[in-house]
This record gives sequence, structure tokens and C-alpha cells, in this order.
Amino acid sequence: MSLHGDLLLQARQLATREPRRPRQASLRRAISTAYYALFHLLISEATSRLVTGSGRDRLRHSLGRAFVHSAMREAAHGFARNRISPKVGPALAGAALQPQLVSVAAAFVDLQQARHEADYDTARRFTRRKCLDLVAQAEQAFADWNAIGSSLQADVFLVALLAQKRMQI
Amino acid sequence: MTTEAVEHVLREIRGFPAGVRSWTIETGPDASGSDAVWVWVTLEDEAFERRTTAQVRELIRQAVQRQGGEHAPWVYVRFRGASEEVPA
Repeated sequence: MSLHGDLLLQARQLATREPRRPRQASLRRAISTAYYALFHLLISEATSRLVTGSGRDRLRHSLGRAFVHSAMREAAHGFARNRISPKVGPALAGAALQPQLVSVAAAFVDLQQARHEADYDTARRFTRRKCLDLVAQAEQAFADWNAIGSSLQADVFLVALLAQKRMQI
Repeated sequence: MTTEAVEHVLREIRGFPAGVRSWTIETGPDASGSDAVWVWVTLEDEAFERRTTAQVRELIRQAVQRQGGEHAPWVYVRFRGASEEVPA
């Protein structure tokens, strides 16, 4: 099993860890883990496309460290709102965005914010239902990605996540 | 967008699925520093399922984006069950 696949499973396990009275720590970790599942899925997809061939695992891992949460969020935000940066928009050749890709991008934005709240906002109280809804959003993002991950639009999205901020028009 | 403006947009939405009981709205900057809106939707406990939350999230997000246009804030739609509601 991949790291991102394991993280997705673990997110649900954490959300349902205590049968009756869930601990806030478990729910917070579940939300954070759901975000990181999607984060690592997208990085794995990008690095495996940019660095192909055998014997290059270390290079792929090194490239993965070049992804920056805030830059990924900015790029995903544009896709989620159907307003693509002119830096990458022309690569789409005028095609309408696939709804599954919009959904993946929106889930990334939602889950990153939820992770901030879960990890840093100690005043917030999390419920199991809210937590399970966020985990389900991550699960749906995985399913959506499976449906469109081999498309040109998916490639454009991955490139945007990595490099849009530093691109020139 | 103000809380009142978002409230108005939500009241105009037609087609909410059964089970949406109420909502509360918060506005402010999100972790990225951008203006954002949080809509906390209370659902009847029996309505709490993935398809319903996805539909409500999409309806709210599209309505706010239509109203706010280019400068519409991102909307974080979160859910709680009626039995989880904190009494005022």
C-alpha cells in the first residue's frame, strides 16, 4: 500500500477510534491525516510523472520536497473556482474543467484549512460527524482523481501545484 | 462579503435537500490570509450522509460565488448534526 493510501485509511480509523466518546486528539489527527493523504497523493502523482524510469526513487523523493503547501493551495484555489491562472490556462486549450478535477481542487483547499484548524486552533471543538465528513471528502477526492488522473487537465493541475507561483507568463 | 450578505444569499437558495435545519455564518481571514466565509450547517441527524453534505456544500458555494463574482470569498461549509447543536 502507498503512503497516501495508508494515510487515507488511517484517517477513518482515527475518526472512529473511540466507539462512544471520541477524543478531540483522535478527531484532530484524523482531519490532519485526511489532508496529508490528499497532499501525498498529488505529490506522488506529480513526481512519478516528472521523473520516470527505475532507480530514481531518491530523485522523486527529493522533488517531492519542492512542493509548498501555500503555493499548492493558491493553485488549487484557482482550479476550484474555475478561474485558472493565465500561466497554465493556455495548456488546457480552452476545454472546460472536468468536474472531478474541480472537486479535487476544492477538497484540497477545504482540507488544508481544516488541517490548520485541527492542528492549531485549540479553542475549536470537533465532532465526529464533522470529522467524518472531511474524511469522506478526502475519500471522494481520491475517487475523483482515479477517474481523471490520466487526463491532460490532471497534468496541468499537477504542474500548477508545483510551479505556478514561479512561472512567467 | 458581510455575514448579512451571505445570509441573504443562503435564504435565496432553492433546492436544498431535506434535512437542512439551520445554519450559522462566520467571516474572517482563513489560514492563507484570504477573506473567507464559514457556513456551519445543522442537519437533521438522519439526513447526515455523504451525498447530502456534498450537495449542500456545492449549492452554497455556487450561490456565494454567483453573488460575489470575481471577489467572492471562499466558503468553507461544515456540518453538524441536530443532536450536536450547542444550546444558546
